[in-house]
Amino acid sequence: MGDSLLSVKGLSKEYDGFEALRKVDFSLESGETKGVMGPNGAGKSTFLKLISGEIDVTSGLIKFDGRKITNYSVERRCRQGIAYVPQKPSPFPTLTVKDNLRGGARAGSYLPVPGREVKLDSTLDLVGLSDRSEVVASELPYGEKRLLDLAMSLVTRPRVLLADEPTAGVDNRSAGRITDLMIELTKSDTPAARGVEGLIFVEHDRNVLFEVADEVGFLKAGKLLVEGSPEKIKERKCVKEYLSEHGAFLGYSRGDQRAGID
Amino acid sequence: MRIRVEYAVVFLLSAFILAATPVFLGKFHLILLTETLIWGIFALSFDLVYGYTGMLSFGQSVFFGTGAYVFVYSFEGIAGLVIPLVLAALVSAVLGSFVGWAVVRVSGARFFLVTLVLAILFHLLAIEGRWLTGGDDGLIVPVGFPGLEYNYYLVLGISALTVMGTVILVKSPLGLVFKMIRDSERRTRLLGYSVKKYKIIAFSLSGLLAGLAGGLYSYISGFASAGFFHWSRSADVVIWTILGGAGTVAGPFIGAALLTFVRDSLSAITGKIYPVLVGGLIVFSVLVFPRGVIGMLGEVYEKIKEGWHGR
Repeated sequence: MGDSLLSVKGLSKEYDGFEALRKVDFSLESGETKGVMGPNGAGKSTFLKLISGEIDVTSGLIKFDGRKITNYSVERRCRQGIAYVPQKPSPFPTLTVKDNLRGGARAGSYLPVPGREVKLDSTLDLVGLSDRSEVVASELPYGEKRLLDLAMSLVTRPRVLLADEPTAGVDNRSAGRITDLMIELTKSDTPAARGVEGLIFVEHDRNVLFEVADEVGFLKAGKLLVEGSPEKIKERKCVKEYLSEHGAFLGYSRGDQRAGID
Repeated sequence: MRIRVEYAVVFLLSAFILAATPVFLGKFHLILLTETLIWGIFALSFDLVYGYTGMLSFGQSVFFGTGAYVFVYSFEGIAGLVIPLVLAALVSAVLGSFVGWAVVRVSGARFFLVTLVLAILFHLLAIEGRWLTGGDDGLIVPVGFPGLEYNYYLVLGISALTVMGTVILVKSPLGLVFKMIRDSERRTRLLGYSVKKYKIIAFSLSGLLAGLAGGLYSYISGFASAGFFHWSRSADVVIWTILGGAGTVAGPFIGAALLTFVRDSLSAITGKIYPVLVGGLIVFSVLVFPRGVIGMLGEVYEKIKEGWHGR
């Protein structure tokens, strides 16, 4: 466990007596993509927010690249290489697409970086927003906002990317693009390679989940019940039950907001 | 950095008109115009924290008053105009960073209240500290009298420099971070920026401009008094900026000019009830033009341009 890119031990979060997350152990190796699934209110978003530093842990330990980062602020974790794409699309509404990206690219270094504009252009290209660069972000359709969100986090040059339901509520074309990106991001020999070593994402859409993730964790009532490859995990009883119930429900989830996070 | 051609044309045109104006104006209106430019710089200091960084500060009078008194004291000690003005701006900038450091812990309504209380506190201190400030009677600055036109061109030149400097600032990487904070503090933090640090920088720069305005004002009026700290001056810049167009560099100047001249002409025509009329006008304009005069002009301009290309 000491050599993992990212690891958490005994991670717990309590909101006014409500246990959103209970003693979760989890690790992410370099080059790995892990998906997190589970019913509404299981603590999936809480899990990502704890790792990103957006909320403080109640107890537990978070280690990144051999360093204890449990007490680091969210901005410091970003500069260390952990980027988090929130569940709701959150580009800066009054800024153009290009300025949104510029904002992300400057994190950690406030001096002009040679070749940055080229990098921004290639990232815009990657998410398919090149012809949108001068559009004000609030005017983008939902799916493109999410693509921009992803691009903004990518230009901070993260080593680990955390994405909360990146395809939820997104039109098919954008969802397809996001899915492809997630698959390619962690592979160093693809055009999408941006130095991302690991990806953790929360996903309701099981097709995306099982297609993208090397390993899947199943959260329920704040506990990480099982973890394993998609093939393995599908055979577990609790997951089977969940999937059969979940089959009828394909709509956009609001459950995680119940925990009082947003 | 790209600046639209239209903006450059408007800037040069207004600079030209303002430079030619003294020929047509009487003494009284020349003084009024000089003051208006100073109010514009003062309002711009507020726009920097509100329109660009999203913090509704009601404490701008603190920096205005401080700049005025720093000017008064350094003018007596040091010969020349430049150094006292620079000192007024710098001391207020330092004070701005301290105030910023103290107030960025809170946001929203609490932020507004804390800055308002700060303004009231400074005003009370200025009244009580007669030995330093001269209280409500104030202190006289022995500025001599270099002439109205000299003063006007001095203030006009400084205003032009301030406008250019601010345009460069808001188009710079630093200005981008200010706008990001205005749009979403959360996302700015998630992209690795220390929001507090940038808010303090914004406050400091805002203090710089407000202090400069205060120094200039005590120079052209020849005195400074505790009233310079009064919170109603903070209210003035809020109104001017929102009326003219927050988040634009020209807006604060337009708002200040509009209200100064409306006040002046209405008080001449209608006598004592003019404050009511001015108040009504402000409420009406804010309701009809939520994005200020600049926002309205921008929309009109876009329509004309569309119509032109549509032909």
